[in-house]
Amino acid sequence: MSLQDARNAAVEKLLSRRRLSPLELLPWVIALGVYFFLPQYLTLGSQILIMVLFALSLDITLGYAGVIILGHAAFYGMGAYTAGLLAVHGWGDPLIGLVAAAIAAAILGLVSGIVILRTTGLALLMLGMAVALILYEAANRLHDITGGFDGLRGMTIQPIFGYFDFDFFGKTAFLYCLAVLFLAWLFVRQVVISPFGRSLVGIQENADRMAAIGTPVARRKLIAFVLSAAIAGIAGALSAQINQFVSLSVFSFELSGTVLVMLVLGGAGRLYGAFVGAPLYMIAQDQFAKGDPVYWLFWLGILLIAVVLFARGGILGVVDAVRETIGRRLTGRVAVAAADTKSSAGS
Amino acid sequence: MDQPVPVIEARGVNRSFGAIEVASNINFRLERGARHALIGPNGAGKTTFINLLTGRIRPSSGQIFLHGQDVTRLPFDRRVKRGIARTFQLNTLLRNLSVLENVQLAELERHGSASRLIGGAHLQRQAAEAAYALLEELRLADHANAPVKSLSYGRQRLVEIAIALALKPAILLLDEPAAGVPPTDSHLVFDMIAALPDDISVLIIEHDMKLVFRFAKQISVLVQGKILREGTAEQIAADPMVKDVYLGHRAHA
Repeated sequence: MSLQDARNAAVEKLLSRRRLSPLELLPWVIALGVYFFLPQYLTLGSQILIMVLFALSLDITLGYAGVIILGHAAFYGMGAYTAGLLAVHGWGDPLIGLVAAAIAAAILGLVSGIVILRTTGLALLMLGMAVALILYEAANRLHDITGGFDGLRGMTIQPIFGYFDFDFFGKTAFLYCLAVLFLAWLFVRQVVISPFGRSLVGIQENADRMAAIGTPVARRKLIAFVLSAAIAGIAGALSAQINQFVSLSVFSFELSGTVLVMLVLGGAGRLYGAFVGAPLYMIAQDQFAKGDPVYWLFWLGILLIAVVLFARGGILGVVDAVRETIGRRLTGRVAVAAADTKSSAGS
Repeated sequence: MDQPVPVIEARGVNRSFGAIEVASNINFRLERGARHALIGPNGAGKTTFINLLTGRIRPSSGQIFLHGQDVTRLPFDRRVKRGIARTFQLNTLLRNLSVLENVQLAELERHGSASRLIGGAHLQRQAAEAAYALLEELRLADHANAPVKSLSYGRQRLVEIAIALALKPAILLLDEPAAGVPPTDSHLVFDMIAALPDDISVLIIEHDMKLVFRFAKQISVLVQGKILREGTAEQIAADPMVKDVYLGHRAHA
């Protein structure tokens, strides 16, 4: 191999994550399969798509920027109430609702991020929780506007593009969620492979090193946080629009915890952790809840302990490790075989 | 003004951690193109002084000038953008990323393209190619795609230097660049330093006196946060007080 070839090979290897692998199309094939062949699951399917989007948004902050936060529901809830309130007051166009929700959640992300991202570790965890708690209590108190504990009702959602009406079977809702998730995925994928996304990974690895090469660490984390908040807001807005209902639980600690569990279960910082963790969690919950919901939480607890103790990269982390081991065995065998051939040729 | 403007200058810099004074009224000038060594016993405050120059920590009082401009309040990353690069005494690298990417990220940051959110494929390619060329110079190209953590400590020291060079700095601060490098490999580090272009001003912290005298034209001796002596290599080598304090010769005991 010439020097030139060696250089090209090394550069190509580094840039290879930019290339789309056929495996990355799998979630979309499965989703379309559900649409055509399992129409009885479209309602659950839409909820799953929304949670995938929500977990995907968390992945930017947690998986890429390494900001461990336990209050991501704040942005989801902000988006849900924004879209919900618009629809209640006659602005029922779903796309306008999404845009408004994204903007509102982004502003919340910016304002809260400026304050809470100054801290790290436990303080950051607590402050993130505090933001969601404050909003929960505010939405509860502002009963006249938000419906308080009874939830926000009376939305009129207009057809998408003034044409696609939301039907009783949830077909439009499912495709709507799927389309939004697809666009969000395209965007997030671009972001994580971009120079910006790689610098986030660098910050997570070692913020001192990144500062030493001139990275404005705090600013870049804040931008990631705002993007993440905006996408969480879109997820919340989708939920408000297709359920035509927003309850206080959108700000709940439980929701913040659930989305974190989904992401960690699937594997944070891998872009597809959300696509694995959220469906798995929700399908398991759906199945177990039919029997004994307490029992379900017990097994979830065991599973989580196992993931945290033995599989820090989540399910996708385990898959990667297995693939790597098999790959190494294979190349090892090839190398041994090559050495054998060489030595037998020499003798 | 008769004197040329130093590339970096500390004026009356103080810093204490609680009751311990780690920098005490330090006045220091690094001239353009300098080969300057900072020596002193362990705990003298050498690394702290580099941290003060780079803005990793702020002085309690005093000022830092970069190319004649007051940068005392400028954060670390902004000073890097103005041409100051450093290596760390303990390897401070992106351990799970490849050697190539460690250097490529520095290239991207120098070109100001690291904040691009969308696209950037051609910028990433250019930066990777430039980074690879640098790895070839440092004989690290064979390890380009290996994660940094899989390299020996000594080779990781070279990655530290490669990253600093990718920033094309006007000022290079080397904090014990050969610390932890096996003696068989340390020549790699020092050959590299000796081959640095003349227009880079270098400040090096180093314990090995043979290397210091081989490399440095100017030497400053730091003891307990104070600059005890400053001069050419010959002057310092001959100074009885330096021998006394730094080399531990208790001639008058």
